[in-house]
Amino acid sequence: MVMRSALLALLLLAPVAARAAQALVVVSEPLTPSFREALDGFLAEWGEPVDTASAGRALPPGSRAVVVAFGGRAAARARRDGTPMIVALAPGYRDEGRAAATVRVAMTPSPERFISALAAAGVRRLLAVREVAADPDFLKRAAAAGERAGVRVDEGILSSPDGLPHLLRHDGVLADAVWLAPDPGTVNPENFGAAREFARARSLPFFAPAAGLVMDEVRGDLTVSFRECGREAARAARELLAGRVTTKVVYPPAAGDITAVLKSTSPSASR
Amino acid sequence: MRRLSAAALPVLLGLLAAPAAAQPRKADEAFRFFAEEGRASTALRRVAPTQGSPVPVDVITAEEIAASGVVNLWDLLRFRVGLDVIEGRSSAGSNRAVVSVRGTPRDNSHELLVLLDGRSLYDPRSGVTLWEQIPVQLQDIERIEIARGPNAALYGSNAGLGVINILTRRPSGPLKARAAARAGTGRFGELSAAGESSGERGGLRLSATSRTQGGAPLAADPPAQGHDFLRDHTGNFRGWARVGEATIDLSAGIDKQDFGKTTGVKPQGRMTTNFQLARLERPLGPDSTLELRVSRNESLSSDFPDSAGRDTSSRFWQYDTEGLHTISWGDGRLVTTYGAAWRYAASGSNYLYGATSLRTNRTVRGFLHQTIQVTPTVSIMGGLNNETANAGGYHKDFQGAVLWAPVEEHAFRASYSRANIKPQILHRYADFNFDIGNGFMGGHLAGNSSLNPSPLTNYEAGWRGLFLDKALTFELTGFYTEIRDHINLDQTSGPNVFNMTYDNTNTVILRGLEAAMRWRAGPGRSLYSNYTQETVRDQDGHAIYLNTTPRHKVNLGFDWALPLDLRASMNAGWKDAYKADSTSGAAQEDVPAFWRVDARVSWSPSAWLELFLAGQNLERPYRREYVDNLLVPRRIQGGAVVRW
Repeated sequence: MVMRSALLALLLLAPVAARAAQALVVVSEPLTPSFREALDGFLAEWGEPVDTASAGRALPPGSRAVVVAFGGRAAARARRDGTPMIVALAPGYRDEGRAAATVRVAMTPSPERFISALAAAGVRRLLAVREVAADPDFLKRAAAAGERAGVRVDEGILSSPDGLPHLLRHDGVLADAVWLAPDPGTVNPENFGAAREFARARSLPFFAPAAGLVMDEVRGDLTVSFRECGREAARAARELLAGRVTTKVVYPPAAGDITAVLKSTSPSASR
Repeated sequence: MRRLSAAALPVLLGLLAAPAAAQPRKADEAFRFFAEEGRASTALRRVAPTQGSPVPVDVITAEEIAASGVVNLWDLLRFRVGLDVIEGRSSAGSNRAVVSVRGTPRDNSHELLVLLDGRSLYDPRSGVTLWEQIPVQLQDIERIEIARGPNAALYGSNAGLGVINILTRRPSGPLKARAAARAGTGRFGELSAAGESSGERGGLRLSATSRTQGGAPLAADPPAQGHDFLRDHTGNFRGWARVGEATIDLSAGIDKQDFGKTTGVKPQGRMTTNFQLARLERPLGPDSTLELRVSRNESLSSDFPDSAGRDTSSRFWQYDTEGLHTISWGDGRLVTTYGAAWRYAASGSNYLYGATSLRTNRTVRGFLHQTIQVTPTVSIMGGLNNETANAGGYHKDFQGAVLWAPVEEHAFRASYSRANIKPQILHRYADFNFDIGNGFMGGHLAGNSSLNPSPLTNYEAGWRGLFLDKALTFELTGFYTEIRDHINLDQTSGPNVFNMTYDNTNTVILRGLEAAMRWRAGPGRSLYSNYTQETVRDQDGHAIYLNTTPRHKVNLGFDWALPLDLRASMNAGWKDAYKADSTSGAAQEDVPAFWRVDARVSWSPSAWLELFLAGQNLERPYRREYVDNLLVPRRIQGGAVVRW
């Protein structure tokens, strides 16, 4: 994996190969371990040569069948192109009037899988915190699925950066579990700490917004790994090329190592 | 050799461990990812209260407002660094609080720009903020951002010593409602209610507050209430709708007050204020946002006819439009904001402007602001504002700043700014007689048509550091500000016994140091302290500038969630001695150094109910803060909040 990542980093810096590949992968700068992990997953699933580019540089010339963008900056760079696009690891990106097909890879499992994980954990009422600008479709679908499964999903909408303690005190009083949506405006150390303290004080399960944030007393049932996002991007690109994609959002499977994740949480977090 | 090996072993282990420790933890990496994505994709705002601001920004959150237990909006600002609040009513009867930033508190303090959801609140007659008339309710406020220092390059004239932006709650989530009742000493009683609902395409919020209270005690006879009563009713509407990619915000409000006054000539007054605002925000691309804002506001004041039967009512109204475009380019390293604004202000009165009953002021301005991230740790920013007004003249404002953040938790900044304080309608066109005591109308105020804008030059440097996983914040700022051609009200010769006019010849210099600390220990648990040191030098030696600013101020407090669903908060502030003085009268009062203590305790026995007991000015029954012969009383109040 390390070799592949190193090779990828070299690829991003090197001039594009003379033979244009079917797919162009654009990656945000800086190339952090999150993006490396997702790219690793993408390459493992794709299994064919790809052209790669950094969002901070000009896109290489030539036409491709599909562009895969990892990160918001990469998506903003690649959207100017008229090629069908897969967008992953860009939770704040909004597709504004782009004519060509765009498929977004979510950073959550599907709403149905999301609800079944909650039901399995014994949750009956979840406070799901998202920022005001975030895409509400996921929670709308989760709420509909939850009605059928007996899990109520309350949306706590964060309208200011410092508003989480206030929101938890007022909207979280009836909840028996808390989840932070993987939104850029929601996930930061202050909010994460506040939500964890809130859940700890009330002995509620706190579900992490991303696999990297699963730790003591924080559960990972609702997370997907960056690697899985990368794999899902490759699957979506293949489906798009085959003309089989009809949806604008695809959901990676939930974290494959959930069992390991649950083992790492403390008993007080399990109800 | 054995000793050497024993000593070398930990070092060797440390060296071997170092590469592992240098690797970012998974959690740090995840937070970094979201932070980078936030910078890359979320819509850009003009002045965000972040580490990246060229001036220090303090934020009061809705949670802090709820925990404070205050009755008056201005009491929220009392314990903040760099701010001074004096409670008192000017002789005009309309400005119960004097709020100033970085010194020179007085009832016509027009170097501070106060905004409500981005809309200017200053009175276009005199450029001051009439705090008691602001049509906003405490239950509607989401946050208050206090930017200290000049910001005229973005906001235009009068944003000289600071900008206070009051942001109201935008309806969100499914149907919910809130009602509260509270009552207390001094014949205080208040009822408030609010309801809101929103969906995917829009939302709506309605709120109302009705308050009645007895008047403030008289300095000469504290048990007697100088004002017989104050009745205040406020109603607000806020809605939003999503139309395609655009979001439209609509808001409106009205505030109506009836109050008794200390003067026997005009024993009763009435103030009515209303506003309407429409705002459109539309993304023009992933890194580009267009914002348009149109608003109107109106204020009517009427003193019930005096013994001579004169009509002393006045009215002002204002139309405001502003458009701005923000673009992030160069992969987010450059952010450009540019825009233009137009304002029409009018003031109508049968007594303020002599024989002319209507005075107007048209203002046009254009502005450009640029931020450049030179390296990952260094950013520079600059701004320019060009503004002209028929009553205020032409001026240019600019700002330049350097920000250096060598590590994520620490940011240093240095800035140079030029802002202008513009003469307003009253400064230019005033022509009226006023009461100089016992109903004798022996004073005359004359405007000065040759007044120019007062240029304000500011130099400042500061540091902001975060510790303990960003839970602990320290901030330090030093500033030097010079206001030339300062607009003063001075005595002159004239047709009456006591004649006043405005002049434009003074120079005022302000120096200060601001230090603040806040520790957020957990949800509902925080404590803070801050210290402000300010000195003022005035070329003409006016007491109103030299001695009205307390040299030292210290504030400290906490807000702490307790077991059994109890919660306690306390704010305490010490203020050095100062001379209370007013631009609208000759009276002066030496106010000794004092402590003020406010506290609140609440209990939430269930999710929908909160019971509370709160007190302000707890350490003594009465205190004199201003020159209006009124005292600030101790207030104890209790009540209940119900939520659905």
